[in-house]
Amino acid sequence: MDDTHDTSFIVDEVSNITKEAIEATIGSQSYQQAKINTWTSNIVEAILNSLTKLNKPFKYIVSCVIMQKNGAGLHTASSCFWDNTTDGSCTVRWENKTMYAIVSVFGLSI
Amino acid sequence: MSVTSPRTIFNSQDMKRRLHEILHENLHDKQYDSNQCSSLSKDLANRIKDALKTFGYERYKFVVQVLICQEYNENIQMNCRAYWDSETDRLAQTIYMNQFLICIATAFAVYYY
Repeated sequence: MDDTHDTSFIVDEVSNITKEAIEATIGSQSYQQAKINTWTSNIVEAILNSLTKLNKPFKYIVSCVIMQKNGAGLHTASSCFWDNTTDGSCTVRWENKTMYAIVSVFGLSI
Repeated sequence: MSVTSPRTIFNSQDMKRRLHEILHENLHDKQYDSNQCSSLSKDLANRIKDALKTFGYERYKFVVQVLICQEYNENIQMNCRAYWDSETDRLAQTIYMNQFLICIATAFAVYYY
C-alpha cells in the first residue's frame, strides 16, 4: 500500500502529460506567427486540465514558452522556496525544425 | 484539517518594483553571452527568491522563473496559467530589455493553508 502516491508530485506522470499536450498541439506544425498565441494557450490549458483530473491536493503553475528558431539564444532558470518532500517541478524541452517549446510545470501541495 | 488565512496578502506591486530593481542592477551592463547567461539566469532566480523571503510574508511558498533571451529579431511567446486560490495567491512579473538581451522574471506566491 503506497500512501505517498496520492499526495506527492510524480515527475514522470507530469512529464508524460506535458509531452502529450505539446505533441497534440504543435507536433506536426511549423512556426506561424498568427497561431502562436493560440498554441501556447492550448498547451497550457490542456496540461492544467489533465493535472486537475488527477485529483491530488495540489495547486499548479504551468508556463509555456515558444520561440522561433532563428539562431537566437535562450536561457531559463527557476528557483523555488517550498517543501521539498511534497512539492515538485517538471520542465520539458521540445523542438522541431522551426521552433522550440519549453514548458515548466510546478506543483505545490496544499 | 484547519484552514488558515493569510494575515497579509502578497503585494504584487511591491514585488514587481523589487524585481525590476534586481534585474536592472544585474543586467544594465550585460551583453548576451551563452556561457555567462546560463549562470546569470540561475543567479538572478536565486537573488529574487531571497528578496521575496525578506518581505516577511508568512506561510507563502515562492516559485521564481527567469528567462533571458538574446535580442536577435526572433519571435517569442510566453504564456502561463495557474490552478490556485485567487484570493490568496498572486503573481508578479517584469520584463527588462537592453539592446542585447531581453529578460522576463516572474514570481509566483502561493499560500500554504
